[in-house]
Amino acid sequence: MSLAGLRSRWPAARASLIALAIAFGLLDGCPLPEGAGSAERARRWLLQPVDGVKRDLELTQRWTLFRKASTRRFRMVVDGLDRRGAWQLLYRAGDDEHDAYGDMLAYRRMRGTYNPRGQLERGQYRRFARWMAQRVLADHPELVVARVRMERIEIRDGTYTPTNEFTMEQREIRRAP
Amino acid sequence: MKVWRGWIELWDRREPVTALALVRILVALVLLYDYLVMWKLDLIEPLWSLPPDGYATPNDRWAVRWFGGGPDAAFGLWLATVIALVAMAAGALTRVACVAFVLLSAQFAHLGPDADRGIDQLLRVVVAILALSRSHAMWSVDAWLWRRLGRPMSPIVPAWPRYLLFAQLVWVYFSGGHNKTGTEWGPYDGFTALANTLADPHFARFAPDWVAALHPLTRVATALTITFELTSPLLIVFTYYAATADRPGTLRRWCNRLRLRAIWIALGISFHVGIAITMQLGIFPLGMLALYPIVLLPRELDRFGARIR
Repeated sequence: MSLAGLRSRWPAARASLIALAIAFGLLDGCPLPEGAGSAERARRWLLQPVDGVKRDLELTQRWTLFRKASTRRFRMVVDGLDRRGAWQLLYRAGDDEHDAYGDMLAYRRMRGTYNPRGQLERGQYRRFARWMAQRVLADHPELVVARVRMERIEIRDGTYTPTNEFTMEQREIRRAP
Repeated sequence: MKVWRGWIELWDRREPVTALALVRILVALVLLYDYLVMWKLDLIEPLWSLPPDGYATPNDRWAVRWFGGGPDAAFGLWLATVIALVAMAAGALTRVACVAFVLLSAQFAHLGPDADRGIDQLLRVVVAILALSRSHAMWSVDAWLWRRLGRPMSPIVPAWPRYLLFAQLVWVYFSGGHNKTGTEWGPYDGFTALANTLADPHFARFAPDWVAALHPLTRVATALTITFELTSPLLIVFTYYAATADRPGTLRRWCNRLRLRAIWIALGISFHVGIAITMQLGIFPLGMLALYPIVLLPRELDRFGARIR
């Protein structure tokens, strides 16, 4: 086929490709009711041709910003045990008086790794917490143990109440030199 | 057959490149800011190195296979990304820079799946579309170079990348709306979602005292947010009506007269400005606002440009 022939067919080919891309996007992002196993399987089967691209480039068309805004949330607490046996509070989310590492922990990608998804810890949380506790020990030679954990909070009427219940705890102990 | 012909004609339209060039520059600058913040906070190593140097996720993707998962590799990938973004903003080897950014950003997503936020995924899609566009036909080193070579790039380019970005933006809002399954977003829990989020110490920029004082207002804002998101497909209709204002039709006339499109855009802007002021969500609001030039009609952008000049 001549170049002119190819050029004349290009608009139709492009429109087809765009239609296909939109169809795959809508299929990927289309909301399905929870427990619709067969529909989900059908979706996965239909998306097979683009699965490699989707996985390699980490692309999705399901957008879930603040899917839920539960009243049962958490605040992260970082503290360390000194040689006298006293816990030193270094960081507590939302507490201006204990704000060591505040700038770093407020960075969106950092928060993404520690802020629980719903009531569950994220996939990277343990690795993050271990790294964080080791960083605290490296920065504070006076500490023998560092601890990263989440305190449960209850949000009501635009304010929150700490519960003094802790979860997702990760401790690191200073090894003898 | 008529519908198919109309579909082909729609994606074959041409228009001034202004919106696409603006989006290219703004998106690149927003991302560049984010990567520089990461460097300033000394977070390249922890985020993108495998343990014990950092807390990245072990994987067998090309970046780890070729360069390893150490701090040097992390810095190298970061530097390459920054160079790609500078080139994108300047419009130098724009398409290569866009493709490089998408590939590098995807590697970061594999290294830090939880650190790869919605805005990162969205901007990867946007930059991939920009790579296929002629966004570099204006305000770019590429355009300057071609002009110097005596073959200037036409500032009238295919409009389909802008249409596709427009559809993507609308889908992000609509999908965000129908995925909000928490009862706090609806009347059952009294539209308390925004108040809850604004009081969450992991996100709040300020102490929550003010949220309690303005609680009724946050409920109105929650209702507006969910309405804005779920009605976002109407923006396509409003924009079509605005673009074809000279055609007949009662609905068209009323939509244009009530300025529904302008109201929707103003709501979107205030939504993101509000988030930027009250919450610590990083580049999310800026990244979204960087896409807003695509919702304007070419003639509106021209008028805006003329006013600035």
